[in-house]
Amino acid sequence: MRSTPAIVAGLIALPVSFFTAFFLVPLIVVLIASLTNGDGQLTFAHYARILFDAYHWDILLVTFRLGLLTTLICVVLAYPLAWYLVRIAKWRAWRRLCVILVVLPLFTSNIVRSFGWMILLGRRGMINDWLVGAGLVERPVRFIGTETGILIGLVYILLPFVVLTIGNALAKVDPSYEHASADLGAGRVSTFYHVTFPLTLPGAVSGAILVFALTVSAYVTPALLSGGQITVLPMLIFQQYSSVFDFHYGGALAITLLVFTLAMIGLASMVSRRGGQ
Amino acid sequence: MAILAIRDVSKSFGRHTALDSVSLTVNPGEFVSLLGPSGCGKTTLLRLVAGFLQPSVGSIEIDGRDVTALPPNKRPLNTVFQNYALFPHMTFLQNVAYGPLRAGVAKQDARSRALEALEMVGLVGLQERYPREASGGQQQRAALARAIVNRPKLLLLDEPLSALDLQLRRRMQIELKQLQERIGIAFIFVTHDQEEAMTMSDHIVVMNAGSIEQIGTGNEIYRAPETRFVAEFIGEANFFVVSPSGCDLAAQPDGFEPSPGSRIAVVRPEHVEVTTDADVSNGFSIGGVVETISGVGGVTSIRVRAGNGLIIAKRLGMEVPIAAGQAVRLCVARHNVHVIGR
Amino acid sequence: MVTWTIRLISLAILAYLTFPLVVIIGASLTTTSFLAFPPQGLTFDWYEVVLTKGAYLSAFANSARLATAATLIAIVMAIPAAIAVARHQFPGKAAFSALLLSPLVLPHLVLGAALLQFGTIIGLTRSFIALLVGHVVIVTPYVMRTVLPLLSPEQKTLEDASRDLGANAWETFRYVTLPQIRPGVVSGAIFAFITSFINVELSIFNTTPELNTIPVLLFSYVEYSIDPTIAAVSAATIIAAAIAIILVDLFIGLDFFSDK
Repeated sequence: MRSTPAIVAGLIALPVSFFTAFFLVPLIVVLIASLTNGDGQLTFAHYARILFDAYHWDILLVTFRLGLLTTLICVVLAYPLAWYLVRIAKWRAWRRLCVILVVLPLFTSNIVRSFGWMILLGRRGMINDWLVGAGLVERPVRFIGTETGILIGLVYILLPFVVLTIGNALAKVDPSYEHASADLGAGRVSTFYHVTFPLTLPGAVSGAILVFALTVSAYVTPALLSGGQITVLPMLIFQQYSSVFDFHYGGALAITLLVFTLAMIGLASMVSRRGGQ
Repeated sequence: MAILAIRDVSKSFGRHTALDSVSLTVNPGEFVSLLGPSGCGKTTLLRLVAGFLQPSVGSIEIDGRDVTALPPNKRPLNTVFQNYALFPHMTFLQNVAYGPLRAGVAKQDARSRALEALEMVGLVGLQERYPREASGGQQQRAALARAIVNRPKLLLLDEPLSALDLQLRRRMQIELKQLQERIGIAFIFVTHDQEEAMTMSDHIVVMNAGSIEQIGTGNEIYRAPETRFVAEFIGEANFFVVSPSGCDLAAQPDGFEPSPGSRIAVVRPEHVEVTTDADVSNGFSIGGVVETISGVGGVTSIRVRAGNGLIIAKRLGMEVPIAAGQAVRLCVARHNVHVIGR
Repeated sequence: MVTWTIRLISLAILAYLTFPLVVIIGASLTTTSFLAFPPQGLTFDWYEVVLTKGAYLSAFANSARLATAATLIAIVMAIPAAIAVARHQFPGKAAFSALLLSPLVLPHLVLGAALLQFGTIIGLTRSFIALLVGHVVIVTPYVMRTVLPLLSPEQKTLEDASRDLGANAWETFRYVTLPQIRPGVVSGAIFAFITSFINVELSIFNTTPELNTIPVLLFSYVEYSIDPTIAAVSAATIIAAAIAIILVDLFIGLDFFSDK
């Protein structure tokens, strides 16, 4: 196919105009709103408010703490499972079933998945029944409305994503490297530490950064499991748009989240590109 | 005492039998090639010895010690992998020092031993290269250095030269053989290339369909193949039916069912004499018509339609006083007819 | 030893991933009027209640219409876009593919807020079309991402061969390119449909009590009350998702980790 301008224009005209109209322009509208006041004059007051208000610092701190912990726990849990799926589970049908079980949560709404945890983590839910029944705690533990509850939910939401990312990185490591390591006298743990882990690190790191970005921008799970007790950045954004109707301040919050996410994605692609060399 | 003793080893994957009751011994310092077409089980056998696979039945001894149940990292041998499997995130030096370090050798000693091994394979000055920065031949040498640095009792090589181009391959064959003689480690070398096996080995183990067909020196295997498979796989061969009255050049076993009790003889093409003299009757002979004549590398192949098939003859030199379509007589001396069992 | 530890940990993690879904399905079968797991008794009454409740039915219908329309439009935009990126050189190509792929990773909540704000300016809010444009933006990248790898340089040789044999551009697309990219279109369409069907963050800005989608409706219910009908609806979506995955696995294969 020759690349005449007419052919290219014909191919890209519709997507370009659609994405400009309903993606790019709306984001620009938000950016402009975040930099203006009600009279349409340029101001940085909304950003100043985010930066200098202790209330925001608390929210940002909670948001980032949850993001960091979720990412860390996800990576630690994902490695063994990904290893199992890629290297240990040999029986094809069983491995397919495992992959389906990993992917199924991804195909289910965050609402539904968080709802499952609301049932389990409630004051009289099954987890508390077990904990009390096993004598581990005397009184039911409060999960809903605590960071622990949100953390359990967020790890649950994002774990499949990390398993797939690390699994992909692992599948790309030629097993002959591990064979060579064993052949040269290294045990399994030593082989993992010296060979497999360094080779999967770029994939795992870029996956982890993306998960961090996804966690920080998650709305549904924190909203449901916070029980109104804890606020994270996306919840604050939603309040501004749905009940306070302050598009200027809300816009500044949205742009903050957006810029942060873009920075994270840029970092992730840099890491994976350097790893690919 | 044998350095390696494989006793009645079988290996099946599900219903597929990859190796069927294979036994083999290798003596210290010996260069043994496992030769056969792809799927014959040679790589499976190598992986069983290395410990990456467990035999379904049978035992494997290295240096008098049963290693059948040992994992690869506990076996006193090393492997040169087909694709080298050099760790991409380590330099040549780090790759070669990996084995000594895992064995608990101090850093400085590991380094000097690695440098020594790199020197042995001719990679002096390239120790800081990463595998991706090196040529195929250099990677091949580094893989070799990594495998010999621990001074194993046995070195396994899984088609290590197959990724190299022909010229480099020829050179590496000779270097590899010289290195093996110098360090005196027994080599087990897997290949599907008969010429490579002939050039380098003390003994060749010809394998087919999960079994060993024949073990012998290159010369023995060429001159006295025990099975039709061996005769066909090593060099070119003509086959004829042998009846009580002698070798029948008019009857090739393909194309008709040989009568029960009949045997088959192998005649190498260089032992088929082509002549225009109709009266010669030295040994067995048959008349025929030349179909094609082709010459490669100073050897001329003459294909003659005779009896129920084509007979191939070879002679040295590019000039032959025969043309396609000509009637000729083919003669085979009695001592050049090698009768095989099946 | 090490292997068995990993096996055990993996099974525990798989249980963790599956358990909440099992709990929802179980809780939807309880005979009690509050949520109980393990369920007490066994009844399908709550599913019957769902089927007689207008709000659920219309939300289901809306979600299905929305996801279908968004997926179809996404296919129409993504195929030419992917061909342009894979087969042609043009200025701004990198920016073009970044523009179309970036909704994959940008926070949907921010996009939803932006579309609401933009919509109030041009008068496009709280309507099916307002929902649709947002969903098209977030699902188009899925189709594009699954089609792109199938338009590899090796495939281009087939297209050249087709042109060489006298086919015109359309015939080449119809008989050579399209059959090659069909698996990508199908899997991309399934991912797109599901992404649209389960979305909350984007839809929540433009839904109304009269025009609701199933996840947003569930979200608003869950915030105020928890009863077994919610579990029944959730269970239905889980089972639908399971069927979709099994279909994807059968037709395209989900065995991400084999080979390579």
